[in-house]
Amino acid sequence: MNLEGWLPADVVVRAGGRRIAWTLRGREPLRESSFEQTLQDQMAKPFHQLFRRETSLEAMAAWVENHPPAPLRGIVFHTAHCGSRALARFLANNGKNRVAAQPTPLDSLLRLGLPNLPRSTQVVWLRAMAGALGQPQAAERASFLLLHPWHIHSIDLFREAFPETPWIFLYDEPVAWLQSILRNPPMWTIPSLLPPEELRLELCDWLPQRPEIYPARALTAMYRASLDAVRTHSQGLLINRGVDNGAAHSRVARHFGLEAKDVLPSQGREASHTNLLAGDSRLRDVANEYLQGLYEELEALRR
Amino acid sequence: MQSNIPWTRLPMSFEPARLHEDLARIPEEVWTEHFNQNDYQGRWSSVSLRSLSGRSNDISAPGAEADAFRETPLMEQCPYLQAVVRTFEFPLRAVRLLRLQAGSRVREHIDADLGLAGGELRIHVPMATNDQLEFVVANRQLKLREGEAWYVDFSQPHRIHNGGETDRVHLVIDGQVNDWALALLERSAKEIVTETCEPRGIAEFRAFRERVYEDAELQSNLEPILHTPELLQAVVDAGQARGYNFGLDEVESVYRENRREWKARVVPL
Repeated sequence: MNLEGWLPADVVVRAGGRRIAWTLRGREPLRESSFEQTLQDQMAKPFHQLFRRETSLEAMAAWVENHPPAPLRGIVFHTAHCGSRALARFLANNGKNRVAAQPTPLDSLLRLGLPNLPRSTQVVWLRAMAGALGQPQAAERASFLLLHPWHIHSIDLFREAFPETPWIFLYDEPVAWLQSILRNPPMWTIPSLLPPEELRLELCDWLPQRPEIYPARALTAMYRASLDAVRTHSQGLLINRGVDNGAAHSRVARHFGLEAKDVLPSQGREASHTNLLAGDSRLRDVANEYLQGLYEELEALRR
Repeated sequence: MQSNIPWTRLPMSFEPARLHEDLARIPEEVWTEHFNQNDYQGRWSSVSLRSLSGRSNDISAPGAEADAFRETPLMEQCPYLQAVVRTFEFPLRAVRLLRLQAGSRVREHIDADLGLAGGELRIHVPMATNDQLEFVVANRQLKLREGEAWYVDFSQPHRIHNGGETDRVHLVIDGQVNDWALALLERSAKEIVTETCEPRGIAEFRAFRERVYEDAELQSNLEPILHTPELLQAVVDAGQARGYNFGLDEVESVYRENRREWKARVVPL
């Protein structure tokens, strides 16, 4: 089986079990700030609807075994609405780094493909998926994973699969984050679209009259998981988007071992959130109630 | 109640010879060309045994109340069909014979309004058919034999190709779902094994698709085609040039199903 130029697009559940759907990507590098957008652009062409390809997970693992991916040089955990897209663009900027930014098939694998399997098998499939996403094209020499916000809850698995790979947790000040989330709510903050358990929440955390509570509690769980992670695992770095601001990208680059020649200068400074912070006293109250203590702990560890 | 029965043969069986006898009683001039002429190629015609107007050439099957329908003169002329229809103890709507002539095809389509959930069901009793008849529902080929009775959920994509030398005629009975019908369907779905197979054209397309996966030149010829009908035709041509025997029906069907599946993904971003 020749999977040269094929990119994982999805994990599908068939009568015989879970399978990988692939899309023909050819020698195109992977550098968009949204993997899902890459897929949507692919699927707008009728060829890719008709000729999606399916293989077993075993076939994916076997292919990766014989076709080593570009070395995985960094993993980005983040809370979303914290400059993660700008970071993905920054990492991919010079064409030598292959960046899978929120790769949907990896998320599908974690949520649909891995539960109830022995840990050692989970590690094998996760490495295989990362390896399939990280097949180098064109000038790509290193690969990076920028994960989904809820994947911080799986950091133990990622560390077990990639013990040598440095990682960061990118976050923002709680009130600024809540404001941004409420202005443009992502789908994962709707419990019917992402099961609350993925965010370590329950359905009763969703209060229809108070839309700020569910994301606030989700962020609480993410802060808590990242605190645990940074205390448990080596090679982690905390980055506060609002405070690190213009220095964030260069700190990440240094942490991932990228030399100055491996990245291009950051495209301008990330917008500062100080103008928003004065904002909403209701959000300030929610942040104080749920988030401020954990945020201060994170900040103490970051410095 | 299980409302997701894709299809099931029903436990009753009728005598093919007597079905043929009644079929021969229907004068050729009563057969009326099907109204939706975009949906088929060749000849697809019908007569009514029961219609809203009570006329034999009124071949529409509207969703009116059952008692608004009246038997047409043909019902009386076909005593065996009358007996067959009376076997079904649910309120009857339209009752028709549908004839797909040799060499004709009905393109894949969905009858979204025909569903148990909406309180309607449609029963097929094949009266005349042949071995080259391909009746495909949700890309599975169903073998409906003369004298059998079948329930099919026609809200699924379905198509027919009469590749044989003889006409295919089905008695098609529309009715209102009642407890008798539900019990019949449920019992049948549980107790009767209905064998299906992959349509030959689909198998041929799948074999061709495997070849495309491995063939960079074919990929680079087909991938850039952005206009869907043009791509589908190019795929049929490329397949036939390499000895794969499938047609536009199959490629369109796979394309639609794949697109539907892709759109149904939930991506919580």
